[in-house]
Amino acid sequence: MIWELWRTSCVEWLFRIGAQCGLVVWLHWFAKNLGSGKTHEQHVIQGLMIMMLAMTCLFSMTWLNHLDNSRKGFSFRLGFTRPVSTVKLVVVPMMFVTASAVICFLVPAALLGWLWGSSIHLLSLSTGIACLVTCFVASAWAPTTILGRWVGMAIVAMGFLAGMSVFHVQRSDSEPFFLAIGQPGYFEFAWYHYVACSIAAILAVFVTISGVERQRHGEAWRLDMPWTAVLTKLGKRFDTLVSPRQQFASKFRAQCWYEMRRFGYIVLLLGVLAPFFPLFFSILATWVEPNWQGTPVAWILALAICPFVYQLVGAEGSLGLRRKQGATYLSPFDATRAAQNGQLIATKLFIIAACAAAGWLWMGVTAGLYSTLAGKWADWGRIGEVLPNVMENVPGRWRVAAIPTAILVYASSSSASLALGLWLALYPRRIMCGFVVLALHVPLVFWDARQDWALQGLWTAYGYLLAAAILGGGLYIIWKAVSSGYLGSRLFGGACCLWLVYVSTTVAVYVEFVPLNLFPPVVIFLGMSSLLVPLAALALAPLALAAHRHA
Amino acid sequence: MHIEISLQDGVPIYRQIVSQVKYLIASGQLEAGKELPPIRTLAEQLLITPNTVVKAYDELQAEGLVHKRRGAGTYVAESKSPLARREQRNILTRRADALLAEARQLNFTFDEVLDLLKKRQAALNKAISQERNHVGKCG
Amino acid sequence: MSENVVEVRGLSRQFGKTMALDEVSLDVRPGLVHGLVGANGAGKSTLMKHLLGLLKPKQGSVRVFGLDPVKHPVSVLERIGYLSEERDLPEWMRVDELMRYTRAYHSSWDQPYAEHLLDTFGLDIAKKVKQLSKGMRAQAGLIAAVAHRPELLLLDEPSTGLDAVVRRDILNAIIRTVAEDGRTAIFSSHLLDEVEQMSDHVFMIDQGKLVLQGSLDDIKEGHQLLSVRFFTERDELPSLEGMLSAQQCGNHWRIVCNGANGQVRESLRRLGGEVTHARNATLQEIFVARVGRNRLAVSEE
Repeated sequence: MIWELWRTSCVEWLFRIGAQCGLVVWLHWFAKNLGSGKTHEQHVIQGLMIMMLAMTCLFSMTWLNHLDNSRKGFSFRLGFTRPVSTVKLVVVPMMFVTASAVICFLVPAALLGWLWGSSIHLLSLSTGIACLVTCFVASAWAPTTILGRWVGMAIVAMGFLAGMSVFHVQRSDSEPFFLAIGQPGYFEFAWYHYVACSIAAILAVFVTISGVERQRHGEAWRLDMPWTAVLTKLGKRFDTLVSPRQQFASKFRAQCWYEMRRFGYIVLLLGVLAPFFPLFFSILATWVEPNWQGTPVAWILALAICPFVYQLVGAEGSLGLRRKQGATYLSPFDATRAAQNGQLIATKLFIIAACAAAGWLWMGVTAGLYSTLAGKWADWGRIGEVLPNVMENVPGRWRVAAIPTAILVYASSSSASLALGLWLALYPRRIMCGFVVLALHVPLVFWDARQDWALQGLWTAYGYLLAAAILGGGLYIIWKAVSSGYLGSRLFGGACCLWLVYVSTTVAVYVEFVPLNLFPPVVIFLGMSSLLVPLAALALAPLALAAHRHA
Repeated sequence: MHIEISLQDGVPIYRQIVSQVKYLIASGQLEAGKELPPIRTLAEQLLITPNTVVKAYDELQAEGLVHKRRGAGTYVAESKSPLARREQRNILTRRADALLAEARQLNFTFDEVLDLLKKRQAALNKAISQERNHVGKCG
Repeated sequence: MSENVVEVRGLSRQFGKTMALDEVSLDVRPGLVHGLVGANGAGKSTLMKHLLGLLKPKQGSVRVFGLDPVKHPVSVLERIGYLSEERDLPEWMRVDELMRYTRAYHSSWDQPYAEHLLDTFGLDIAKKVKQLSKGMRAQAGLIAAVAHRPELLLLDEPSTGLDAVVRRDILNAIIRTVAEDGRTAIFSSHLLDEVEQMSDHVFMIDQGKLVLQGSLDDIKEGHQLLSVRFFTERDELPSLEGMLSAQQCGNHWRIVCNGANGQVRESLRRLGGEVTHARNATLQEIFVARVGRNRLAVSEE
């Protein structure tokens, strides 16, 4: 069994460890070049590093793959018919996952400690991570329904946060959390910390074993509470509500309904629940400090970030790829739809945008509601004074042009995310290598900055190369998408109109606000070629979909 | 119309249909003027491609045993063509061959077979006349 | 329609090191049922996927209704009804939703016919796909494929893993499609009995190559099964021209040979053999002779 697990995950393991070590080295260089010597800053960065490492280890692919929503409960069901005891069947993979997560953390953390010359409490952190991973795996494997799984994971997450808060309060440092974790002595565990972690881990193992034992013999672990019957009935009612009564008036509407039912509702659900975060934060902050005036900031931040979050979630959900035996592919049901690639992509983008817009509006409404109910309008007042002045300076024609520009930018960024997701499924290694190559350039930039830009020629060459690549590549992408019929003429025409508005607006902005003579020609060239990017990005997604659909 | 096809002997299906329909016509089970099942119905019954049925019906039509009425189906031909008589003779010939072969296997001489046939014919005549008397009495 | 429904020319496809299709060229004429036979992994599914545009031809060309299915997915797929091997349907969809969704994409949808089929099969329209059994799933997928009266019906291994009732439903659907003027059906199967009963035209694929094609009757008449008894016991037979396979059964040999059996008979007589029985070979026997392990290395006819 270990061999099975090893085979399926070793490459990803090595990749992960390598990537994280690389990240550590990179960050070390980065920090050294920024402003060395400041212990305080170093601690912050160190702390952040530890957190990041811990987080990434938790989400190791080995068991994330098992989180596939189509599979409920224990994922090694094949083992049920083998002459293996349930205890062994559960403990072995669990230990494997935990051990791999811990090692994924230990190696880069040790490297970090060695580079920084500071001591990191590897043992305590490893114990904590091991405990947390075990609990997460337990919550994923023991329950038999999807809802149960997510409830379990939420419980574990809350338990972890509670534990961390208690731990932090115990440390009784007056420093805020993120600065504190960088301190050398922070993660020193006392004996009872180790005991608590061990107890939690052992409990998790027991819960999993009992849950899997039930699954093995066909019993489900269901909470037969009075409300489950009600929930099921509500679910059925919801189903009849969202299913169409008559036939669809057009292909577009049919496809919209399909995409909405498939993933749109998740984005909508996220949109409905998202205002909870700024709301919670505002309430907490007001409770801690009654004169807190940061409400508008919190809400504006939320309003600014949420469209992108919805976009990402929507792009991920709209891919419609299935996973089977390790390979990701487009289902024949979707691939044999009598529609052009461009039309399918347009529908996906439309649903993403519509759900994101709905979520964004709801966020705004919640902001208004909260501000009214909590009497926070005074804080908004200051922003209310600044905004009209800013708006007055913007001519009317640009205010009008802002809308199609925003639509184009949003659509093209969604399209690019879709394309990235689709291509990542096809060529994961190539794309990751590309990213690594790009990332390696960043320390080079910083290093060169200290050498007084000795590599000026290289950067200029890169600039011209990039501009040429954008122009050439963009034109090629557009040509390929249109000539292969992936992007229909009507859609392309519409996109072109939006793009023309965008170009004229951007050029006008450049001309009016940007002093062109201050910039070297390469930057101007780059700026001009980057005008093609939105249009090319729109054409990317149909191409990526075609790569899947017509393998 | 009862038709069975078998894939065992490598005989093309359309030919099996043709010979079975010929038999049905010759033995009187398919009377003149009766309609043969529509192409799709027979195909669905036998689970064969409709084009095979089309082929079979075409061959039957070529041999004059059936005729197609435009859009209204296929019907058994009216006239008692010499082909029908020939087919009937073929049937009897086959039966006779089978009887003779079996008799030989069981070591009966030809005279014994003839004797047997005469006895059975007498019995059959008696049964038919008894039947007629019975019918006559009951009116 | 006198044009071919499907035209494939020189199609080759490689997956890694294996040659899934090797210079396959074929024509599919309208109004007939075409059976695609081959062993597992011979290339049947690959060929079907090319017809749907699910695979782009790297070498060679594919034309369906005279169009390239990759370049014109709308025109081609609108007129095709497809039932995939895995009966791939979204798990969360209900049966009636599936019908309504599919209906939106095909203007030739016949709602009374769809309802009649739903009735006949006894499918509960309120059930979700994930609650359906394998047979019911095949039925639902079949209705979605035939209810819009497609010009071309493509079925990939339609009978695999299904009970006799559902199998009959599927074959009836093929019959009904073809019985209506001009409609064509292509189905791939490794149940040779079914193919023999249901096909007008057969394509036999082995390891990516098209080893045999033609009307079923021609193929069957072109292959003979001879039962041969030799005066002296023989353990081995030399490979004769026209002989496709030879198998020893007790004291006689079963030999499958192609059309020119006069030659084979003569050669066998010269070797001291007597043909005790001869008949047309069944499709199964032809398949095993051409594709199975006992086949002899003969040149293509």
